[in-house]
Amino acid sequence: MSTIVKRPATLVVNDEEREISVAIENHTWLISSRDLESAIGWELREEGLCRGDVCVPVRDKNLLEVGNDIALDRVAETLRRPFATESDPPMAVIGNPDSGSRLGSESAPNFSLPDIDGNQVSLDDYAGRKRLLLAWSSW
Amino acid sequence: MEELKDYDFTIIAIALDEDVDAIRQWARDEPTTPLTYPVLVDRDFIFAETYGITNVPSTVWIDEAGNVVRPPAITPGDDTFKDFTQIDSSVHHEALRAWVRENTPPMSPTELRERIVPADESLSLARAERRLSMHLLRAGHQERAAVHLATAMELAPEDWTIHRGSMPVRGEDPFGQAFFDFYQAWETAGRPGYAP
Repeated sequence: MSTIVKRPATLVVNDEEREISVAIENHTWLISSRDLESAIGWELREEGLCRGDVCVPVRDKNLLEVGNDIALDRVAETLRRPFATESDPPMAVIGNPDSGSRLGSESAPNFSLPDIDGNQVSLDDYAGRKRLLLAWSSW
Repeated sequence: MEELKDYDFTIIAIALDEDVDAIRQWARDEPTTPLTYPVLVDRDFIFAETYGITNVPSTVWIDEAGNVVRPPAITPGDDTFKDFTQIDSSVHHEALRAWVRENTPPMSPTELRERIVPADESLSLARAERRLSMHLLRAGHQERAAVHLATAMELAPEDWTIHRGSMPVRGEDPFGQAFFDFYQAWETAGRPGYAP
């Protein structure tokens, strides 16, 4: 299983595009164990999938591990994130976890976006004030 | 919002658009008085997904301590589309004045929690499919992008940002027949997901 041929692919995760190396079989994307953390920021440890001190328990590591590889679709599932794939060109998205449901119980999540002149602006730039966020569009 | 300028309050507008030039035109070039507050561009629907925005215009209110005091709600700036939205803009404006000037909370914590609708699995996947389609489109793969966008629309038939928001990208007129077909279906279904 360790001889699966990898090819370059694009992974969109945490709102960024990354070039990774994967073997693709249908919806299953296999990445080398050693590449996992640099690709998605999470690594597989004894405790589970971890990012820094935060770990998400993994019930059955065998579901994630295929030889020396890790199945990204299972990783996404474990992290309770959606996974969408295209094989030609090879491109996949690990979506973000739903944060909308926590709006009433936690602080308003920060975000950072460019303004119409290209300057990066964060919600936190206006901390300490009342803020009205207005989502609109030209459509 | 001129009348609230002496208060510690700001509007942050966030445009869910691919086309920055179009937004610049709306925000700066077209109005007789250009907007004085920040206008951000959310072409990847990052803000929209984080805050669960399903239609525009929507507003979210955040207090000085950084807590959401009013979750996303459809809030027209005026009554142009009142028949359409079934919302009276003055009610919203009054509530906003009371909150900014007198700290009157727009709703109780219980109501706030009740209003928040978590994204289900199918909406989460729809967002990932839309994200994929946008990255494919920007990389020049229109055909595959269209396939994934169609998947997203099937998964989230009630999300306006996915349906109407993708019309310019799909080469459809957001004010044309395709939009009215979508609107009719949504109206017939009892306006699902609608929380004025």
